Amino acid sequence: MVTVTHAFIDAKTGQVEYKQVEKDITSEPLTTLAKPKLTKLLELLKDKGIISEEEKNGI
Amino acid sequence: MYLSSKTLKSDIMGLVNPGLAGGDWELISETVVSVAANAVTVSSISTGYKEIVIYVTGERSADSYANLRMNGDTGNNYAWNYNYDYDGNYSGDRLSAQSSIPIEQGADGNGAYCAIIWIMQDATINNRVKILGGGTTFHQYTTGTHATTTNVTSFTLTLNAAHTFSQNTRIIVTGRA
Repeated sequence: MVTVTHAFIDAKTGQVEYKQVEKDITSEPLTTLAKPKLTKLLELLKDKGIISEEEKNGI
Repeated sequence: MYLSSKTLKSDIMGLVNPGLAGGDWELISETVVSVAANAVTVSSISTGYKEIVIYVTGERSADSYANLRMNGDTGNNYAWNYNYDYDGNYSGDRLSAQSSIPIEQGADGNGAYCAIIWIMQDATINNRVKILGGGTTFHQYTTGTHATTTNVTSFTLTLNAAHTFSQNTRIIVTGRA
């Protein structure tokens, strides 16, 4: 768990309230962030001959 | 012929989606965040808009990615398809039964950030979302659905982990009935 700031904006009044909230970051999906880097890593491994094109595409 | 900026914007959006007739675009809210925040929720949005467009401009901390949820729904009720260009590398993905919609994957470090989020809602079909998001070297187009016909009265933009939108991030919400 980490403590983060959450901004709450009321569209009607325009008021903004900042609250400190606890956030469970362990439940966040990693794939969305990791995928671009993983793609680059796989391309690097293929370029260096460590894995084949089929292995790169199959992972 | 004179065109006001308001008329011009309506015409441009009408060209993008001519099937949705409606009124002029209205400014729902415009806020500049004064404290760096991991998440931003905009609430008290009136019902009755056929379209809502959200503009986000600012900066975010390193390698963070942003997600969208609507009406506080944290269930696996979102489906989406995105394509991205990351520093010249193109890829994409499609997933269903997700707990949010990705705005941008943000793998290009900290710095400039912007997104346009376009929500289309109709009582007869699930809400549709189209998003253009990006940073300096990462650009993403997302199209998705939220499995509900309930009008959006609030939405939340969240960055992963403890990353933050900068304190000068501007969030503009517009709508058209």
